[in-house]
Amino acid sequence: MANKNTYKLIEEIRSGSEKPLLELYARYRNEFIVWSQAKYKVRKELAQDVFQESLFEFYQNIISGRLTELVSNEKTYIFQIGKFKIINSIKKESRITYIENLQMIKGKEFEEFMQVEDQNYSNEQIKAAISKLPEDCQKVLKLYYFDEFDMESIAENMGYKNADTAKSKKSTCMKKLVIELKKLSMIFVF
Amino acid sequence: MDQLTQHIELFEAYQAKLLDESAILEFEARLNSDSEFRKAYQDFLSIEEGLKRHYKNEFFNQLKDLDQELDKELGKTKKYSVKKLIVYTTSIAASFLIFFFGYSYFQSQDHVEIAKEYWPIEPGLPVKMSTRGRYDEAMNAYKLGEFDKANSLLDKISSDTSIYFQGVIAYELNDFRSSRGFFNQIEKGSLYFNNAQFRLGLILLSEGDLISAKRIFNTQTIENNLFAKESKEILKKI
Repeated sequence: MANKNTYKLIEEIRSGSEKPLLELYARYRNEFIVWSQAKYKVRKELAQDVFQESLFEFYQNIISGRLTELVSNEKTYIFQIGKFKIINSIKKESRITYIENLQMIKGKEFEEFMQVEDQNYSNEQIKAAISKLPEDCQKVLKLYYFDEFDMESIAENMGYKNADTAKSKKSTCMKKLVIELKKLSMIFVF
Repeated sequence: MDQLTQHIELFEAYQAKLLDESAILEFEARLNSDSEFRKAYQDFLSIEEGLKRHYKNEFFNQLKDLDQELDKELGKTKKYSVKKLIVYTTSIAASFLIFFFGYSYFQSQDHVEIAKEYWPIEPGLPVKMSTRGRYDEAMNAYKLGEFDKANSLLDKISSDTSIYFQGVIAYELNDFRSSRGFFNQIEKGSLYFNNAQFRLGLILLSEGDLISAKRIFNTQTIENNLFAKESKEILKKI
C-alpha cells in the first residue's frame, strides 16, 4: 500500500518540482542498469535510456493526473515501466532487418531522426528563442507545456490574479516566442 | 508569421477546446479553405511540439548531467560486485575444501581408531625353559619390546611364522607399508593366513583403502573364521 512518503512524492512532483525526480534518478538509475543487464542482457546505454524514459513517463503520469496514488512504491512502479520498455525495445530490435551496406538507425535514435525531419523548428532555434524571452514568460511556457498546468494552477503558481490573466500572459509569451523565432529564421536563412 | 501572431489566441482556444460548436465548425472550415490560415496553424502546432520537445530534452539533459557521477559509482559497484563474487566463490570453495578435508580427516582418523581398537594383541610364541626352540630368542626380544633385535633374529629364519611376526613388529613400529608386505606374503595354506589377512584388512583400513579393506573383511565373515565377529562389526562401522 502507498505510504505517506509516496503521497508526498507525488504531491511534490505535481507542484512542478523536479528535485524529487532527479533524486529518484540518482537513487535508482544504477540499480536499474545492473538489474536490466542481468535480467535482459541489454547494453548499458539502452538500459540508461530506458530508465530516463521510464522516469519521464512516471512524471507525465503524475502531472496528467493518471497517477494519483501508488499501490506499491515508486521504485517498483518505475522499474515496471522500464521492464516493459526493455521488452518492447528487444522485440523492436529483433524485427529490424538489415539491408546490405545500409546502416539503419534503430529505436529511439530513429524516432528522433524522423522527428528532426518533420519539425519546422530545430531544437537549437527553439532553445535560442526561449532564452530571449523574459524570465516570467519562460516559466509560464514551461508550466504549461512541460508541467501541463492548467491556467488556474499557473495563476496560482505565478501569483497572477486569475486564470484569465494567466491565459492572456501565456498568449503574450507565445507571441513573443513567435517573434523571436521569426528573427532567428531570418538569421538562419540569410 | 503575421497570421500566426494574429491568431494565436484563437489557436490556443481551439487547442484548449474553449470554442463553442459553431466557432469550431467555422475554424475547421477555414482550415480547409484558407491555405495561409492552415499554414499559420501548422506553424503554431510545430512551435508547441518544439516547446514540448525542448523541455523534455532539458529534463533529459539534467539526468545526463548526473550520469557521469553515477557512472563512477556504477563502475565501483561492478568492481565491487566482481570482487564480492570472487570473495564469495573463494569462500565457498574454501569452505567446501575445509569441509571435505575435515570430513576426510575425521573419517580417516575414525578408521585409524577402529584399526587400533580391533588390532589383535599378539602375545608371541611360548618360550619353554626345558627345550630350546628356533624362535625363542626372537620371541624373548619381541616380548620385551626389543623389536629391532626381534626383527633381525626373525629375518634369519625363513618361515611363514617369521614373516607373520615381522609383519606384526612392522605394525608396532608404525611401518604399515612393510607390515602389509609381510602379511601379503602369508599364503592361504598357512596357519597364520586368516590372522595375517585380518591384520592386513586393518592396515588397509588405517591407510584409507576402504575398498580393499572391505573385501578382506567380507572374506573373513564368509569363511566364518576366528575374526568373523570382529569383521562383521568393522563392516558395520565403516
